Amino acid sequence: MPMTAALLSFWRPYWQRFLARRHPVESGKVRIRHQRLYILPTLYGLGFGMIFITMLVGALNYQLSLGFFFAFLLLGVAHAILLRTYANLLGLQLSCGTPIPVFAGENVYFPLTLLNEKRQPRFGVNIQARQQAESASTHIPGQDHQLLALPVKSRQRGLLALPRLTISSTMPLGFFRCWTYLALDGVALVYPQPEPDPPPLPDHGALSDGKKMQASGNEDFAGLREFQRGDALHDIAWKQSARTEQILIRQHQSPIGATLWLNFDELAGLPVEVRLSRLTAWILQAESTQRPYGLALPAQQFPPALGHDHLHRCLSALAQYPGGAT
Amino acid sequence: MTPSRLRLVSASDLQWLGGALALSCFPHLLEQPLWLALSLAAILLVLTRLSADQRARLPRYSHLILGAVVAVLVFQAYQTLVGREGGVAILMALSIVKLLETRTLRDVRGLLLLMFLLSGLALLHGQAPWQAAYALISTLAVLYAAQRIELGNTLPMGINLKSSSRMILEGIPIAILLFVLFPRLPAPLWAIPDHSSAKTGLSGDQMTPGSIGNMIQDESVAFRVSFKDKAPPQANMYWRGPVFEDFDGISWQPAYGQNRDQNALRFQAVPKIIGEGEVYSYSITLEPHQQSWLLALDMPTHIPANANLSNRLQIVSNQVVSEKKRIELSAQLSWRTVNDSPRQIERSLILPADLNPKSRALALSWAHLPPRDRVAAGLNWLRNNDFSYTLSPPVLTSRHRIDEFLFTHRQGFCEHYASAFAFMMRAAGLPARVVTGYQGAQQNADYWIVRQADAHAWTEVWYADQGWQRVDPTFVISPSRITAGIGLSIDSTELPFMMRQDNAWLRNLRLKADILVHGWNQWVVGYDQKRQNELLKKLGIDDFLSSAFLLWLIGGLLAILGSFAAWLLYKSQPPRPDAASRIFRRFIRKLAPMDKAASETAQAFAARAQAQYPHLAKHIEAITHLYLNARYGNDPAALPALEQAVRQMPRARQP
Repeated sequence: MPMTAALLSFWRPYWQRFLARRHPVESGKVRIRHQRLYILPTLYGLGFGMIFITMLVGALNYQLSLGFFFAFLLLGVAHAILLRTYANLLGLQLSCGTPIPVFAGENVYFPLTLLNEKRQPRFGVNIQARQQAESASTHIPGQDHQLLALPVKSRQRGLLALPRLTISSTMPLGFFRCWTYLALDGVALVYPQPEPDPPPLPDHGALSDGKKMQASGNEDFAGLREFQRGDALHDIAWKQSARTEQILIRQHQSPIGATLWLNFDELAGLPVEVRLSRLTAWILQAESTQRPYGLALPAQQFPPALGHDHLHRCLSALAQYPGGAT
Repeated sequence: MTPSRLRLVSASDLQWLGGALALSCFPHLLEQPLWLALSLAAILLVLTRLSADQRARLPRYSHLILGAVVAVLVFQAYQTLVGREGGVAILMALSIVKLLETRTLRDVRGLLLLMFLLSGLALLHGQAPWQAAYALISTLAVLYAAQRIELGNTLPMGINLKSSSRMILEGIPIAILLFVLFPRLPAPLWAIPDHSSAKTGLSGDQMTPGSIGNMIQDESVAFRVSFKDKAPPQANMYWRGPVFEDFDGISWQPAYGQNRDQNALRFQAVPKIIGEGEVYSYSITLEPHQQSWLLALDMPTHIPANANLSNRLQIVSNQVVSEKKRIELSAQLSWRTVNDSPRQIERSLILPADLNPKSRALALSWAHLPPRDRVAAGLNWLRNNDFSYTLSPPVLTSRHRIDEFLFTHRQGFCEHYASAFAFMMRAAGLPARVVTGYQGAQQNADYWIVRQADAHAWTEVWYADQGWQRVDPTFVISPSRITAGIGLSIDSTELPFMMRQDNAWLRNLRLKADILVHGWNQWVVGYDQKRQNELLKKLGIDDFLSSAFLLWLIGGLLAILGSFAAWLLYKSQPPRPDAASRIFRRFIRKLAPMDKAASETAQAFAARAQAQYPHLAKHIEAITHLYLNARYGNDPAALPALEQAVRQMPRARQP
């Protein structure tokens, strides 16, 4: 066994390179073609083969003419099943959407769309990303599609490409396993992992707690502006919106000094990843307490603001800070 | 191991499994002794109806205990757990018990494999058309259950049934091809364990007057015959079976035993048959009779492979005929035999001392005549002394049975006459023996049926110049028995239905059905090495190593598998685009190496193309306009115009 294990590990990189060449990354809707579809009998299928051999030997020995016929019929049925197993995947179309960003260490759920143009349903289609423990399995009705969120564990901040997928099925009888490899062009953004127990927010303005409380209040009304994606529902000016047929947002004047600048360079002395982690934790904290915050990175600056879009822009910048996964 | 194999199977799925198991076990149950069949059926019923709750409460080793119990039951019935009958019985019994410990998908799969095997093994019990059909049905049931359980019961019943049936139908072309081409062996791989099916038909052990008379009630088919060119007259259809030399006063026995260990003796000093006259070539499809001797038209001049001629001029196969068997033979109706064994001739003169003094005295009075006249005298004496041919002769009870028959009752059946005549000839100093077999046949389309009721016995005497010759004393008593068959020679109420002469239409119907059975026997059940050689010769295949064979095999497989594959690829093709899109595609190809991205609109592409190939701008604009009209506008004239415009446009880059 150690011998085979060593041999296997020796060949693995070559094998992976071969597969990567044979199944290059494809974009958009990818159809499973017959040139890239493999099929082999399962253990159960080999058992069926044993039944065939038993029948054949019996027929030979007892000179049982119909025994021959029956044995060969089993073979023919196995072939019919083989074709069905093959057809179950052939022509299936897959595409990958943009997954919701996650923090490093969490599962990215890649939204896969499985499109079945055939009239027959496709059964037990199993999808597994390379080197992932979890897999997803689904039935796709005829001339219909199925959405599937495929979990992939993220380890590192940055961009996470959808690993090569193994799409397999043993349906309808389990005698054969048919599979193909598919590299879809799905990419997920992975934010840095927030530091678990971060130090308090860096408050240069030396504001009292009471002032901070005021800052999150809504008294300092400063005007209206148009709705942008990511604005909080409670900021919508419903009455004014109803009059103007536009959704309007109340803008608040934040008290001076309440503005928070989160500066990468101020965390000097710490490793890059720890700094990014801490900044992430602070951003989340500021967002949850509704304190406008700005982010200063060596190459980029994000002026203080609040809201979903701002949060995403800041976290994306941290995620894609040089040195992460691409 | 994938965890899905350990998925638990629902109780309703298990009931379907039990139902399919019952179907695949049914033909095997029919073959068991009644008490065993009933107990196994009861176990199957109980196990199928067991709820998940009840299963959980069963003791841990209950399946082992139940397995041991059924093993003991089967052993009780067969005294063995291996071989053809015991083996199949225990396989079936253990499959039933396996239902008890079936919980997960993996268990189900194991049981399903056994069920496929059981469906096929049912053919061991018989290969009639209905048995073949049943095997297909039970395979269908197993496939149905397998698919239902595998797919976790997501498939509607009708669709599952349709797809299971189609799997079997799709398997048939491959099965037929391989059935025809797969090389058959001349002999089994290993000796078939003797199995104790009831023996019907003639006995090779002994012939007692009355034994053939009992067979007259049996209208089952003994064998069917097809003559190659023409058939001999019915009166000459003597189908030669077991021959008897030793007479003990009551019954006739073979001198060295017919079947058993005397093979060496049987084939010693085999006389030579020199045939005269026309050669009749024919084939016999013999129903299994569990004996090794075959039946052949008197006298066989061509001995099939795998069989020998015994020193009694009987054809003996190398193995017991336990399945339908097809034999190719030829015969000539007149013959002489040479090189007869002197020991055998001497033995054919021995009579038990001090039995039947009256018959012996009568025969002695012919002893001074030349051999042929002695035979004539004997036959004449029978003809002139009011003998009659009847199925129900008085029972012979005295010590001198031949005397009792010849001088008291004078009523008998063929074996009485054969026996008495052989006795008298021996007493007259002429070597004689009794031959049993069948006489006559019933024509049905292009073949002949010989039934058990056609069983017959006659006498053979030995002449120094001609060897063994047939003398049939029954012929002088009831000539119509020989020339027209038994139906006309005996009061018909004594005869089985098929042998009678009345109710013609019903008999015709049954004869029509027999034509189908005969064809089935000839081409399916009887498809053996011989038949295969014949058929393959017609296809130009001389042996299995020839390139012609490989051509047929591989060509056939490629044709079948290829057409399935083509069909599959055809079915999985993306839907064909509409005509306008196809023509527009052609237009795009003409603009190569430019290509239209999937997300690009036709207009956007046209603008890009016009920029790239200004000299084609007009064409591009016109075509795009026509395309949009044909595809989205409601303009029937646009499509032909589009086609023409595309045809007229020159290629962007001349090759």
